Amino acid sequence: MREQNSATTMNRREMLKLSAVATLVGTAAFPDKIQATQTVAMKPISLPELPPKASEDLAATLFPGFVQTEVRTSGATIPVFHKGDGPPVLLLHGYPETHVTWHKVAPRLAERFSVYLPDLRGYGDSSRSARRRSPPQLLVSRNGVGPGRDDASFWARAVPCGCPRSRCSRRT
Amino acid sequence: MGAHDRGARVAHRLCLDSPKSVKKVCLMDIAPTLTMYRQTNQEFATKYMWWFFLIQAAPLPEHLIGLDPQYYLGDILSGLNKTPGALTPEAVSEYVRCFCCTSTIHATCEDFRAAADIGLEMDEADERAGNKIVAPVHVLWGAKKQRRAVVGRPRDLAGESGLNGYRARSRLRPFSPRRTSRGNLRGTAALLRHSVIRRTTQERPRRLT
Repeated sequence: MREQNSATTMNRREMLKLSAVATLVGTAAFPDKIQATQTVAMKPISLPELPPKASEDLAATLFPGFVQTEVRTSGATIPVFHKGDGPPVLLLHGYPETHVTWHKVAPRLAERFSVYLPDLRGYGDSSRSARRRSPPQLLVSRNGVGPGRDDASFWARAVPCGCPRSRCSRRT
Repeated sequence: MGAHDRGARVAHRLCLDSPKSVKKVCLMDIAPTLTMYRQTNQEFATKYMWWFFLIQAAPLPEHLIGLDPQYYLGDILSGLNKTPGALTPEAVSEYVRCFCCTSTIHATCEDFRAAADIGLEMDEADERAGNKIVAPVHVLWGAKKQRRAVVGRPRDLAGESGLNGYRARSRLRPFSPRRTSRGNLRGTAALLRHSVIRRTTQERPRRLT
């Protein structure tokens, strides 16, 4: 019993320490929240910052024959899976998913179309949005560069550049 | 272009910003963001609580989700998915891998905050300017009555487009992108295949076969 009690005390001490650290971290990252986090102890979050590396085997199973490329832009790197010839088809997934959402549909569409499957920015393995007020996702630079030469113009036209319409030089 | 949920909101924005970039578009399971927030009622707020939860100031949503992200993810996915077997274990493992880290949780919250912030401003600006989707639109909704009623009705999107697209198909399975149900895939493929689509507003929407 004594041992249990002392263990409980230790746990409480540990918890207080941890919550103090969490408070510091929380206030540093979100300064406008100082008041709330000073009065309430936060349980620490133990999660990695980025997702673990993707399994290539799984990608090959779900998307047989698809080639993974990356679209580098001024502010983000977007992984794109691609397969097929024919008219281009861009498939965009939803929340809280990734391009994997298309794994039953994309291989069949790729029989007749050139299918592109990106992860929206901030989702899947794409790079994260650094700033608030970024317009709806999949932001790439004005000169979006695609996986191949022929695809570059497709990407440049097909992908939203992210500027407000009134200020966009790419406006059509 | 085919797009589901958040992706469909990106596609909607692309259609309005760069109409020449989009030849045809298939939007799944959405009504425009502006329409959704304007028509908010108790049912929508209850069934789609993350539309209101995720837009709260950081770090509250991030912190609460981060305490048990796998549970949160599982709950959202099972809540949305009405079709047994539609979600494969492989797909779920990928969603878990990508979602259960601080950067994804924060980024996805920011996605919703941006949609409810600058996204609404852009939608309102397009509404004032009278901009509508000019590309042919094919709209898909899940089959469950309650879901369609909550997510929106075809007319919500019909008002957005130039009435030159295809008629919205009902009787489709929910979580349509995951399924290769005949109606869904055939309809999407047919939309993409058709090279000539008349753009008269008088024309009765064509039914795909």
